[in-house]
Amino acid sequence: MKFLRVFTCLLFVFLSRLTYANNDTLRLKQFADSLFIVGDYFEASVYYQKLDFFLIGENEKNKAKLSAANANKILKQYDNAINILNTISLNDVHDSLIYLVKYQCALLNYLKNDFLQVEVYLNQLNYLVSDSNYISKSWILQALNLNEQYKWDEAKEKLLMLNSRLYKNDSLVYTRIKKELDGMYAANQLPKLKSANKAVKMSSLIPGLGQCYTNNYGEGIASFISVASSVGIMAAGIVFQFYFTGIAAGNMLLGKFYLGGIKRSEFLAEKYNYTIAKSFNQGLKFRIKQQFIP
Amino acid sequence: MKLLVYFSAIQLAFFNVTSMMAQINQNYVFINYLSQNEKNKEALFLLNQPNEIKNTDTLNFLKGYNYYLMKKVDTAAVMLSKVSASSNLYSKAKSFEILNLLYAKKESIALGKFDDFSMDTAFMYRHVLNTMKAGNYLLLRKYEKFDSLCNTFRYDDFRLTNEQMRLKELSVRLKKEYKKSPIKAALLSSVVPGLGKFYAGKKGAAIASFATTTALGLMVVESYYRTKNIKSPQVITFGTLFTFFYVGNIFGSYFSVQQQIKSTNGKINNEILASIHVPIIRFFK
Amino acid sequence: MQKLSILNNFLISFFFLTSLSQLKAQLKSDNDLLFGAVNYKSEYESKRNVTYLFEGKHPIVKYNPVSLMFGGLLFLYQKTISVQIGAACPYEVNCSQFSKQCIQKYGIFKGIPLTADRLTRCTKLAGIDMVEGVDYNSRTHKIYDKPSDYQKKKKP
Repeated sequence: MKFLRVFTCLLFVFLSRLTYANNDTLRLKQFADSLFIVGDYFEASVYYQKLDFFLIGENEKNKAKLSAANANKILKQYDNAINILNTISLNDVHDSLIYLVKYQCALLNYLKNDFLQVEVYLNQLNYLVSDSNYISKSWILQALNLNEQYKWDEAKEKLLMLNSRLYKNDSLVYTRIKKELDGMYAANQLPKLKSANKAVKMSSLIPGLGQCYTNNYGEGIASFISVASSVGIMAAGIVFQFYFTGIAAGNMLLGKFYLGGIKRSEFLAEKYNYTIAKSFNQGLKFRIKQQFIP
Repeated sequence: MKLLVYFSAIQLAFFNVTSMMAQINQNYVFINYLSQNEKNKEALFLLNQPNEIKNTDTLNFLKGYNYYLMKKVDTAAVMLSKVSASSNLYSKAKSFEILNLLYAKKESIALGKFDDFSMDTAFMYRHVLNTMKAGNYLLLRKYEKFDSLCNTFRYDDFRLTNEQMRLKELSVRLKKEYKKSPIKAALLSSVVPGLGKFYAGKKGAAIASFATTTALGLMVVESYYRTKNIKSPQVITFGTLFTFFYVGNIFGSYFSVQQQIKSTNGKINNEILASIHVPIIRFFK
Repeated sequence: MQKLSILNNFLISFFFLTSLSQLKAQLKSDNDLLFGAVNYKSEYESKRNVTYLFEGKHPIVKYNPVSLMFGGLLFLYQKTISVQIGAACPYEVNCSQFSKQCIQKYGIFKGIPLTADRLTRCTKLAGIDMVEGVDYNSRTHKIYDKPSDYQKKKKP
């Protein structure tokens, strides 16, 4: 009888110790969650990382890491969030976790405007995950990314694939969305881009022509006049027998204006592409959201 | 029955205390982990929360260490100076405080801190402390005191030998560097444009100055030769341009001496600081 | 004591379920972030802010022919010519800014020769002997050279 009492007391003590230990991490998690809800995202991310450090189960650790990365994402600390996500080990885990990690990394790079890295992460997702349900969830992000890289045909293809997957049983919605997409990406709607290489070649042939090609007529004329005057100074120097002056001064001015003009025309071509693509892509985004996000 | 109740109550209290201690120990482990993985802002945030680390000495040391890793040397020195002499982190805190003061360019204050080490530490670590003090004297350019400390170098500890030899080399270089006078540079430049900058040690700028000023001079000569009239517009324009560049060249040579001295001083000071930094990390880790 | 452990288990499962709902909320806000993001490249969006050299000074200083010539020349250069030739100065304070600040600080007679000297140095050739961290910024690789370096130092 006495032995039983001793045993039950020791059991009680042992169980209370277990719950106490559970209570530590539980309390930490509650605290971090409360900070997140209130909006103290930096503090919440620190405590989530602490939670991850002390937890033992792989599942709970990954959850804590995901929450920490989420807090950093809202704070716009994209690099921190990507670093945290890259510490999650993806060996022998369920496809849902792989999808979550890779999709979040791709999204963070998209928010950071690093469009090539988005491609990298989406390719990894396609390679690692075999279940096509998860891969199709990333097609919207892929289409938007292709838009930003001026690859509108590939983006349209991706959206058509998504459309056929989602609405293959509902032909009314399917045809409506297909018609919308055809209208959005019609050949006459797409912005006409200027080639930077062509602008460079034109400017090296006739200074100022590259700038005119990109619709900067004022700068084109100014560039032509500057190069012409430096050549004129050189010629005048030779004609009036100011050999050294003419050649030295003319050479320096010519080099600066001619090479500078070539660099400038390349910059202007890229700026032109950026400006018209930006407004077109914003419009596309709005319409894609209308079609695919309820 | 009462005995059992008391027994279980004592067990609970015991587990309570050990888990609290375990938690504070865990806080320390986590903050250490953050500091060493370049997450210093997060570590400092946790250190500023109340009750994270109970021991004020450890708290101040960790704060100072994180500020040092973030390269905020003034705040780091202030935090590290608050560690009390009774703590076992005292010698580590003191040596890092001296290092941060030297990086913050407060060399004379740092010199006074060498006396704050306890007698035991000062004896046990006398070789590395002597090396640090010698570096400090060299930063202050007190050559006699440096030489007297240099004589105590034994060059037999592989953790110190390289730094001791480097300090000796740097002192020799510093003593050899004779003063260059800016007025002499300006005079040299007025004779041959660019020569003053070459004398100051700036070879690239010297060539550029020489080329531009002579080119302009030749233009003036050529315009005079063609127009045969000193009041013609060509001669006047090129003449004014030439004067501007010639006077500018003289000004530039005058100030380039100052700049070159600052530049070589800065380079040598960086090397001295590196020679002090490395032994501290090796000995007080 | 049995009830205590049951209560604890209930609390744990409750918080697990609530964390699942937080994950769902995260997906909704992801789409908001995705569609709300804007592609922004500062080199194509920023505008140059050029001010006249003698701005804010006495009208006689501001509008006399000499200052109009120099000030106007600098203004024209910064607004039009430097944009066209795509100038990229290896110094932190670029040459036209340096010239402006020197003339504002030291007047014309010291400012213009210093500008001329800076123009001769403004090539990659002049940076061959530079020391990292002391002479140039190790992050941006631009050489330090401020107008305040050119003051006559008073010997103590």
